[in-house]
Formats: sequence, structure tokens, C-alpha cells
Amino acid sequence: MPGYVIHLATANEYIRKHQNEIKNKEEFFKGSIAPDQTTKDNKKITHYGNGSDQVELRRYLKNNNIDSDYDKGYFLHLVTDYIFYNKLLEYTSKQIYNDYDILNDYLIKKYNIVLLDEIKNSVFYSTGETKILSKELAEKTIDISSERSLEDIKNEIISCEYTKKWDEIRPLKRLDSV
Amino acid sequence: MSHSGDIYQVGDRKIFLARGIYDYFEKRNFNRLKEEYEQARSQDAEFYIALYSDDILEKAGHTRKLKGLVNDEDRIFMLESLDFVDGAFIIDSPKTKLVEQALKAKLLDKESEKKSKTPISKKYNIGYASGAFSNLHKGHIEHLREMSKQCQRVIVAANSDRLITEYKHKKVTVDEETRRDILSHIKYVDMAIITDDYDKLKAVERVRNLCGKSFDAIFAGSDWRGDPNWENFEKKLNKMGIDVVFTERPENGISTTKIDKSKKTPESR
Repeated sequence: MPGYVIHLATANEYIRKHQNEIKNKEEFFKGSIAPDQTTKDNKKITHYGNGSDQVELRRYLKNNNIDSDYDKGYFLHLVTDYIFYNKLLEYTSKQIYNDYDILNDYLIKKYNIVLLDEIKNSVFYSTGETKILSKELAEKTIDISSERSLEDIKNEIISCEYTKKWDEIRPLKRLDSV
Repeated sequence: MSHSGDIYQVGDRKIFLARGIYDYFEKRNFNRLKEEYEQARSQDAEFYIALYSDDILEKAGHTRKLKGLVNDEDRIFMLESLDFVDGAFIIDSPKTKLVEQALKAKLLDKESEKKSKTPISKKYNIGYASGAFSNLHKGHIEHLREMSKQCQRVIVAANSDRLITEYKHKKVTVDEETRRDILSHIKYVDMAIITDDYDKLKAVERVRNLCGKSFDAIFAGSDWRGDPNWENFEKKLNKMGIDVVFTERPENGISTTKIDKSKKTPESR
């Protein structure tokens, strides 16, 4: 999970870039954080794969519609996780959680994020230099993940049996297990 | 910090809802449950568990290893047998919105259950049972529920790690204190202790020391019926006015051995 704040920022940016698509913003935001509102063990279920770094978007689409704004938010979360772990992030470690805390204040201000009640107590703040996730990479994740219309992504995935772009799971290097 | 449960406000009720699978209880998942309960308690909330259905697990690409042996009702029964769990129910979607709907339906069910409860008189005063109770599963809990139906008070002893190693020649997979702790939270159990003695006659004395009087019935699973040791115990115990009661165990049901075996097989995906 790239942190609640990154997901909310992506949802905010999606609304801005795809005007008139999202009717119920509150439901869209709720959906955008829903997959992470569970324990580490359960994330493989909420992320339709073997964890948040191995989201199987095709599996999700096979079993779910993205008709409601909540469902669109949920799908956007999975798309963001997929892009973040499989296309952008090169390596990770436990330090990344501290990086989220360092970046939270900056991202909340930059993207005008209003934290939902259900996660207010799960968002933390810290200061210092980030080690794994730079400010630029966080912004790039938000920008790329919110760029394409969710319907387009869905159609691109279901129009063929396999796409390297949306199906390939890239093993993530872990610095703390080396 | 990992997210654990969610708080739901349903009318004037505050519910802390955790999610999981729970086929049986062992150290890791039981401690996790207790931690979540502590979080619920610290927020003055009732504690409910949403269990992922087999359908949603399959859709998410996972298979419950004990699916054939432990069904959805069994999982609800097990969780609701814990004295700190207010309720458990199955969810067909991992989405919080649908989970909330299922929670509301469960709360309505619980209300009607409460109204239909009536007190019953019981045959025995104190019932006693002992066993390893490793990976506590629905078979164990059904055994304890049967005891509770027949006894005013239920005392259960978890065999010590030494007994399991030396008498059963088995590897201890869940330590004695954890096994005792899990038993002590089963709502059918009034007292959970650790026993380091296989001799049931010594248990009579032990319970007398603990409670001022001993048990008037000792319970064992029907798989022990006809066992020479138990026949010997039964004769001696009957002379002391203590009944031996065998509770029925289904053939090919869940067992600790099957659970241990499932832990060794990789998850199918």
C-alpha cells in the first residue's frame, strides 16, 4: 500500500482530471481507501492477489463491476498499487512506512486532502529525509495512476487475455531481507 | 502501524469489526484476536468478526485449506464460543460498504436470539475433561458445549507440554499456556488449568483442592470408548460416584493431525 494519503491524493486528482465522471465523491474516497482497511494478513483478499504489491487487476475485474463510485474508488486503489509496485518502485524496505509519515503533511497540503474519519487515527506524521520513497516518486505515482480513465483501463485489460502492461507482476527487491 | 478493525456506529451501538478466516485457533491468530478485542474494549465497542466466505476467497485467488472439513457455520460457531466475541458472520465481499450491510443483518439476528433464550436444569454439578487441545477446532468446542449442556460448571485441563511429548510422542505445536489461555476464553468453560498427570484419579484430587469438591462427571470423546486405560479409569471412578461420559465424535471429522498436515501443504492458487 502506498499509504492512505497517496490513495486519497490519487482519488482527488482523478476527480479533477475526469470532470463529471464521479458523482458521489464521498463514496469514491471511501472506496479508494477500502482495500487497506484491514490487517496485513487480509490484504491478499482485499487486493485480489498475493498482497498489495501483487494485485491481480484482471481477477478483480472478472469478479466485480466498476459501476458505482465506491467500486470505481476501489478499482483506482488497486490500479495505483499495481502501478506503484510493478512499474515505479524499484526496491522497498520497512523504512517506506516512515517515508509515508514524512511525506503526509506535504501531500495533504499540496493535493488539498480531507482525511476521512475512519482513517484519521491511522495517518501519522514525521520529519526528516525519506529513504525509499522520494517526494517526486510519490507525485509521479499520483499523477500516472490518476491519468487514464478507469473505464479505459478496464476495457484494455478485458479486451485480451494478457497484457504485459496490466498483468505482469514484477518481484520487488526488499532491502531489509537481503 | 497495521490497520486492524473498523468502528461502525449502528443506531446507538458502537461496533468494532475485525475480519479474517479462522478455521481453528492457534497462538498467532488467537493473540491477534485478543489484541483486536483489546482495541474494541478501549473504544467501548462491541466486538464482532466478519469471516470471508469461500466464494470471495476463491474470487480473490485463494483457497481455504480446511474448506472440506470446516464449513462457514462451523467458523461462526467457533468464534461465537469465545467469551469476548459478541458475534461473527460471513461476508461475501471484501468491500467495507457490503460488510456494513452484513453487520446490520447480524445485529438483527442477535436481537432475536436474545429474546428466545430460556434457562435449563443440568444433570451434573461439575464436569471435567482433559486433552491436548492443540489447534483448538470445532470438534473440541462441540465437546465442550456438550459438557456445558450437562454440567453446571465445566473444568478443562490442557495436557502439559511434557505429557504431549513423553506420552503421546508428539511435537508440541502450541505451548501449554497458550492452549490453557484459549480454553479459558471458551464460553462453555468455567475454569481452564494445565495438567501434568495422565492419571484421572489424580485429577479428582486436583479439582477437589481447587474447588472444595471434585467433579461428578468426566468427559471424553467417543474415540476413547473401549480403550483399556479408560475402562480401567471408569471402574475406579464409578466406585467414587463419578460418571464417565463419552461425547460423540463424527468419523472423518476435523482433527489436530489434519490441521497440522494442512499447515504443511502450500496454498493452492
